[in-house]
Formats: sequence, C-alpha cells, structure tokens
Amino acid sequence: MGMKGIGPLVIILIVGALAVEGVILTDLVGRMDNIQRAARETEIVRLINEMEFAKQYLNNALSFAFYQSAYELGNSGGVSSIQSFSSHNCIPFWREYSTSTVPNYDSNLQEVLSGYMNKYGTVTKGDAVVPVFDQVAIDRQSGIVSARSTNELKVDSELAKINDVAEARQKIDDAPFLLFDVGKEISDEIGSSATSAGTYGEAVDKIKFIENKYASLYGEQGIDVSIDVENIGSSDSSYALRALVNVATKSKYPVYNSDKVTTEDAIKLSYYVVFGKETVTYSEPCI
Amino acid sequence: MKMNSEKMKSKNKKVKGFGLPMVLLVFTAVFLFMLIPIFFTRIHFVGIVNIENKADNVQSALLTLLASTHEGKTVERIIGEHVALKNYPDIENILSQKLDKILNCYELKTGSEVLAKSSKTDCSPDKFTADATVPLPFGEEISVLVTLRVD
Repeated sequence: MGMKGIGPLVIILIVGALAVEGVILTDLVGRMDNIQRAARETEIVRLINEMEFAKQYLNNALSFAFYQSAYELGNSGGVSSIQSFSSHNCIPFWREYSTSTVPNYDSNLQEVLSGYMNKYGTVTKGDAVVPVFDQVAIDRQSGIVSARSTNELKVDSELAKINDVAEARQKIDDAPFLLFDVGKEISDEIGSSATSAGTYGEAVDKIKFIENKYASLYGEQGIDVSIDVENIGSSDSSYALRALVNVATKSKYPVYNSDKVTTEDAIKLSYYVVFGKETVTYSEPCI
Repeated sequence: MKMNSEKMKSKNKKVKGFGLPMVLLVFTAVFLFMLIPIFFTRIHFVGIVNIENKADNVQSALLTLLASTHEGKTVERIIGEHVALKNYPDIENILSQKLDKILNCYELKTGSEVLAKSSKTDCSPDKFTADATVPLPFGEEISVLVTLRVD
C-alpha cells in the first residue's frame, strides 16, 4: 500500500471511530439518564424519610408540649396571666365570696400549648422547614390534641422538593383532661352548698364532705382531690374560710418544674376559694 | 540525480512501513482517551447512587425503629424520656431487640451516650450513618440528635 492508499484508510478509520464513539456515547448518555433518574429517586426517598422524621418528631413533641402546658397552667390555677386575677401565693381565687371568676381554661391551654409547640418546631435539626403552628385544638371528649399550621411543612434539596400539611396529633391520657372539669364542679358545689354555712366548723364539715365525694368519684379515673382550709377571719362565727383546692393526676408526666429541673411529676390544678361571714379583702401581687 | 532518486525511494519505503501502524495507534489512543473518562464518570455516578441508596436504607431503618412502639409508647418518645430522665435502665435491651431484627452490625448513639450496639464481635459500624432529631421532655434542652451507624 502506498502513501496514497493511507489517505482513504484514515478517512475510513475516522468515520468508523466516530460512528463507534457515537454509538457508545448514545448508549452511555442513555444510561446516564437512568443514573440521574436513580439519583433523583434516591434523593426523593431521602426527602420522604426526612419528612417522616419531621412528622414523628412533631407528634412526639406535641405530647411533651401538652404535658408542660397543662402542668404550668394547672399550677397557676388555669390562668395564663395571673396579674389579672386576685391571687394568694400566685394561685388565683376562683371564688371570692359571692363572686365566681373561673378562667377560660381551654382557651388559655391552647395559648400556652401553641407557645411550647412552636418552641419545639424551631429546633428540628434535619432538612425540614417547620412553619409556625397557628392553630391548636384540644378535644377533651376524645382526648386528642392537635396542632396545625396554615403553611406547609417543607423538605427541599437541589434535586427535589416535598411539601406536606404541617399537622401533629396526639392521643393524651384522660386524667390531665379531667382536671379542669373536676375543679369546676368542686368550685360550683362549694358555691352552692358550703358558702351558706353559719360557722367555720360547719363550713369545714361541708368542705370535707365535698373533698371526700370528689376524691371517691374520680379516684378510679386517676384523679386525686384535696382541699386545705384555714380561717382567715376573726372567730368561728365571724369566719372567712380560705380553701386551697388541689386536683391532681395520680400518674406522673415528664415536665420542667419550678426548680428548673426536668422530672416526672403529677399534673395539678390549684386554686383558692374564700367565703364566710367576715369579708377579708386583700390584694397580693404575684411576683 | 540517480543517487537522489534512490534515496527518496528508500525513504518512501520506510514511511510506508511505519505509517499504517502509526495511524492505527493514534486512532486507538484517541478512541480510548475519549472513552475512558466516560466509563469512569459512569462508574463514579453509579457508585454514588449505590452509596446514597444504602444510606437511604439506613435512614429507613432508623425511621422504622423510632416509629415502632414499646408498651404503648413510640421508641422516639422512650429515647427522649431516657435522655432527659434516665427512667429506662433497660433501654439497650429494648432497642437491641428491635435493631437486631433489621440490622447486622450497628451502633445507635446520642452525642454523649451509646444507646445500643450490635453484640457481634467483628463489627465496626462506620460505613453508613443516619441522623434524626428526637424531642426531649421540656427543659434546658428540648431536642437531641440520635445517630445510627451501620457497617
């Protein structure tokens, strides 16, 4: 083969090489599409997992937020702003003589729970972006607490984005839900039967009757009732009975107490009532 | 003139003998040079996807563990209560019983505490990891990062 013969051969080789290269490239590009699709699918699975992590986190956070809210609100007699109530040792009076001032427990619990739930929402460490929970619902009949946001829960990456409804739901033990109902019944019964007592001794007997009645009525439902009384009036006949009503769960729940320690404690609703023949008025600021 | 003509012929013969193999060699080299990066890139991407896929599986294992329940409570909540209150002295048993069913070689830990570890002796779980934030009962800290390492 002469030099002239190499020229066509080179051209054939170039064309042949380009053709083979083209076929292989087309095949590989096709496979790369599959690889990219697989990468995207893998990323989507990762994001779905992240979304599930976030939802599970929020559901479990909701129960801790509920226990803390019920604990804190119960210790302050169901009042979210104690300064607006007459109080003694920072515990509000639900009844002062003929005036009954029962707080709106459900509304206050929703307000406190919303605050705690949003604190939990800010500390998720994954890829999920948790919105502000602006709707908190407490269904005391079914024992279900739920928190919801008008914005969506989002998990984003360069390859994919996933959005879902930002909602957490938890079934809570019955006992914490009963506290307020039992407390309200006791307050009402004190108002209707004990306040008519002629003497301090008679009033104490009536209070003890109410205490025993409610302790036995709700004991099996996991509720303890105790009423501590004292006469802040001048005598047995000119008395002013101040009673500290405590309605508490028998079960203990994980809460952050006033000593700034996370511990297991009963959730308790405490409030005062005062009535009698002598009117003792005082204003005691809660600091 | 005759001498020059003979020299040219001899030179042409040498070129003819060397030219074809050279052309083939150059084309083969260029051909491979173009293909090799493509193959390596493909192998690299397949490797990454496989690693990510296995990492997703570890993530799914952690998700399954945290969502499972023990005596009516989710494992996620049990871990949260244990970290804050130390009220589950048998937590290693609770977690190991569940993890042994889905993983061969693993270690589950928070930042400071190993919660559960595979009982296998020849096991060093350091290839794949998955993290999850677990809520704690309210306090100074209200969440903790739990890490699952798998071989």
